[in-house]
Amino acid sequence: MASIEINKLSKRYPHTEVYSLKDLTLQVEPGEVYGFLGANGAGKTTTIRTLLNFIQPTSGSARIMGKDIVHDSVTVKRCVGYLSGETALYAKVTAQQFFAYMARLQPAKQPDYLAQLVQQFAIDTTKPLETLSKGNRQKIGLVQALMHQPEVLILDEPTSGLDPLMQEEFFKVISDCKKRGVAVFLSSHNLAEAQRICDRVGIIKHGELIREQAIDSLDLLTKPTFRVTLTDHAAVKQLQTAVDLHFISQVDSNTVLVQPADTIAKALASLSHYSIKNLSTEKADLEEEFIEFYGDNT
Amino acid sequence: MRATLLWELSRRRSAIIWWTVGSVILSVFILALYPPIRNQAHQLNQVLNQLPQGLRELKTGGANSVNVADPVSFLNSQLFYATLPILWIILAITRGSAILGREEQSHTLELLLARPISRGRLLAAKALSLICECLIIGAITAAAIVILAPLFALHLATWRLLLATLYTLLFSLSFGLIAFSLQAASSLTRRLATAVTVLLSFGGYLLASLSGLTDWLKLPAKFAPYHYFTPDKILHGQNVAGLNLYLAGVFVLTVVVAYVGFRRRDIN
Repeated sequence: MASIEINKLSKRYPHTEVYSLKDLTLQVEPGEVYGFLGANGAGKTTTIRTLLNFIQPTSGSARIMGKDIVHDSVTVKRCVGYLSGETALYAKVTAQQFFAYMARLQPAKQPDYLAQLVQQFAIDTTKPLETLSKGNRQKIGLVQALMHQPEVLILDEPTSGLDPLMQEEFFKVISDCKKRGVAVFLSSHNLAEAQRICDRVGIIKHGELIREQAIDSLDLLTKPTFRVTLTDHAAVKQLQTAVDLHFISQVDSNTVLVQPADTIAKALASLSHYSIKNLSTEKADLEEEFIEFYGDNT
Repeated sequence: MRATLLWELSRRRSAIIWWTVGSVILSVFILALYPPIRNQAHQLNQVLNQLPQGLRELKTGGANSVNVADPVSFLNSQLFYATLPILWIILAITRGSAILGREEQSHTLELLLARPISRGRLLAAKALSLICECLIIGAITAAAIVILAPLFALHLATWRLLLATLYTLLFSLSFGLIAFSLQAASSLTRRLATAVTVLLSFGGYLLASLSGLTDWLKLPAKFAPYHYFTPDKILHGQNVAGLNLYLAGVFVLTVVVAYVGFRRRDIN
């Protein structure tokens, strides 16, 4: 049995004609980390909020650990840990008071696991939450999602605001969860992060799942992107069909984004045939490249 | 449910203390005015009874004349009809609209709804915390009134003073529950729920108080909650069936509306 089963799930908000989520179907198996990728407004958060039953689906259904997300919502939440994209916390209380409250609402399976997480994420539990930085608030949000050792983790932009050291700690925790058979469903903008921890990714655009694939096949996307400015705009057309280069998009009349079709050396060799005014590499960014790569072709 | 109730009360600890202190000080201040007012009752009654009826009724409700030397008339006009309920209505409405509304606005509601707690139980815990908060403030204020009233020569049966304070509290709380249910049941924002309830309470207060001025206001006044709020009758030990009916109706209706609306609505 899949830990998360989503079947033709759709959501259309009242007074709107457009579907924020349309016929989404996917499954996440126990011990699998599923990255849900897409641009802002693509429908990632709507999917997560529907799974948590914060908003009602317009049609379709979803099951978590075999239970319906709408009709068995309370039972579902016994086995779910959730991190909101907003990391909303109570302002005036300390982390210690906050964790105690969360533990009263959902008792931990192993009481010392909370202490372990607090230590791992180096959380100061004595300061009022309103005085903490975004990164520290994010750590507290993560700990509250993990502290009761759920079978399913649903995390909206989990590494947002975390420094590299804490991101490492987060990856370790997710790796431990995976070993325990926890299914992790996380949304992200960060391709490197997805490649690092996900087994599979789904790409959502305009509320529809446009592609789903194992992380191994994402190599092309993780190759460097070259921003090439040519001296002659007439050469842009030739570059689009050049061997050893994968054309992504045209930025302006003289500038294009390309990726190596094979190796970087071959790509550079191919580029050497052109009169280039400027050449730079760009960071792989989902919003700009990933979606652009798939564009409307999918 | 218990955890959420205790959490709410614990977070509101200092606010409860300050509202209690304010209510007690205001009540004691008004009680302390009675001896000097009684000594000049003749002149004051003349002044008050010469006021236009509508203006007089803003302080006295349906009473036809005012005799400030009379403890019941004094307590009705100076404490229970307007001053104390206005203070408590402000508390109840602001809390009623904020108790879920603020959590929804700041997204902390999602933290609670992501736990294995049903929306119904969460709603009940929140409503109970509003009721408990008001009851704590009301109980201490009632105790202060009962203990201190005789010291200022206001000799009334203890149970009448207790009942008058209790009804004032429940009447005020009814607006808190209306604001709470409006916010819980619909996508009305906290501010809009507050505005609607303020209009109902204080608009109703003006309508009910001024209905004696013109005949055409008498019918709409019957739809104003304040029309049924008659603390002078409670202090006289008379039956207040209209008020009981209003309170029961509001309590049942707000619970049903809040539950049905909140159970399945989208969280903003």
